[in-house]
Amino acid sequence: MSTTSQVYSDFRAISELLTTLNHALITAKRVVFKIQPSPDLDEIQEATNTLLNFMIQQSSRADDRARAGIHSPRPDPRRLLAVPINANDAQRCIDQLRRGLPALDQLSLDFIESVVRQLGQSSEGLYRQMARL
Amino acid sequence: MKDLIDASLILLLQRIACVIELLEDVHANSRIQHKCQAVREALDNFARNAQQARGLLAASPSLVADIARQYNAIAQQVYLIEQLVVGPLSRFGDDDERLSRLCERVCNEIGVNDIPVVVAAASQYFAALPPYGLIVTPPVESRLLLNLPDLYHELGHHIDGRGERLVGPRFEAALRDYLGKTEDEITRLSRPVDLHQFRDLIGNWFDWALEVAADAFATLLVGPAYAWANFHLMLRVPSIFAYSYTHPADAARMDFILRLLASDARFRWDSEALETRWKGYREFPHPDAPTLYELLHPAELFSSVLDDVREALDRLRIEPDPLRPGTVPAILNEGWHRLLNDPDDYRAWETATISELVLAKE
Repeated sequence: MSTTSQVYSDFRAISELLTTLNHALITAKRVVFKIQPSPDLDEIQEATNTLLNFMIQQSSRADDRARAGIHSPRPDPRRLLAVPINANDAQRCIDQLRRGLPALDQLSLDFIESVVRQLGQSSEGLYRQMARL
Repeated sequence: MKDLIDASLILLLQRIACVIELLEDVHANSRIQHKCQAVREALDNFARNAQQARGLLAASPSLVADIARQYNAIAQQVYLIEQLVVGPLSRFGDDDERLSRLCERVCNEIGVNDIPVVVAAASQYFAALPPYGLIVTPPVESRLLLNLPDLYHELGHHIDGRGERLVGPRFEAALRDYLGKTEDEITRLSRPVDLHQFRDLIGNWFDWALEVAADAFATLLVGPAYAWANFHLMLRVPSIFAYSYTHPADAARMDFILRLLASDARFRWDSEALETRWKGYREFPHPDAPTLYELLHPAELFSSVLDDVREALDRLRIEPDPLRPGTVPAILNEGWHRLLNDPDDYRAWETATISELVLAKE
């Protein structure tokens, strides 16, 4: 009897994650493209951890879901916002992130951006539902 | 483009400041003071993120597209919190005060310390916003009695959302077992079922489980009045067999609530009365049940959620006793009986009872 509760809960979880990921992605681009002024070491470390944890989580969730054979029609925070991702691309990205942000190549940056965009689309659908747009 | 994104970030920061002002105006009300803190923290966080985005835009104008995406994410959160939380709180009035007092009484009766604020400002039906300790109801609920069993359903959401999980391992194990067993059966017997579609839709249970848990929570705590209220609600639902991503079908929920009531001998009269009417109502013409209706609503998944809810009630030391004289559930049950048995005199009784309910000290 309360679609609002569930939709807002999903929206909030996705939006918070999206804000953090957007920021980390911007930091990654500043490092990879050597945009001045450079982010400081703390920012770089935080962005690396954010992106690495997210990719590992998504990758592992995608595996679990494939094994369980359960595919949700929309992302769900209870399942840690798993979006469908290509396991090889994710692994390549994880390997590079483990070596630090400067190791990311254009392909991996594009991949991260595409995953973040997918999350953004999920969040937008929920937002439209809540805001009656 | 950079100038427009920067201007939008400035406007967003101004908006956040205005929302904070609005919040501070209502801060004087002691009941909602505590709830305002969580909202304020969220707003401060949005402001920090927006300020940070401005800094990044100034330093790295070539990343304007990324910063536009960041603006989008922050702005959505600000506008929604303004619309759903700060707006209703800023207009907290007498109706909200009455509902919040009633909710406080309900929480005191069952021993819940984290008491939500209730505001009569929902644009749809009852809803809970656990991150902010808020429950919203339609505008006139403080003046009526018999939809209030739904407050217990939202209280279930509130408790779960504040960290005391109602759904747990019994449901998860049951879902795994059911999935394996059903897929095996579909394959072995070559049943004409689209396996991919079944797998997609059964995933809805990750959301449905909480709705079923809130139903179980409310039925256990309120007893038959929750079933009557649910039945009454269903009379204005266009299709009782329709399900969505967030909610199982109303008919399946009603079946579950009635099974739960029937298992308690104290509710025999209501249980039989409800069953008879429910059977009759199901025989009315209804839109057809959608694809896979039966396969998606197995009794065993409902039961597993119920087991988790019972365990959660034990953990929280909540002892349901819907008929204990003088309690809100007992009054709600009496209300439904009076309406059904003596409809002409019901309204006078309801008006007097509501006054007593919200004025009486426990």
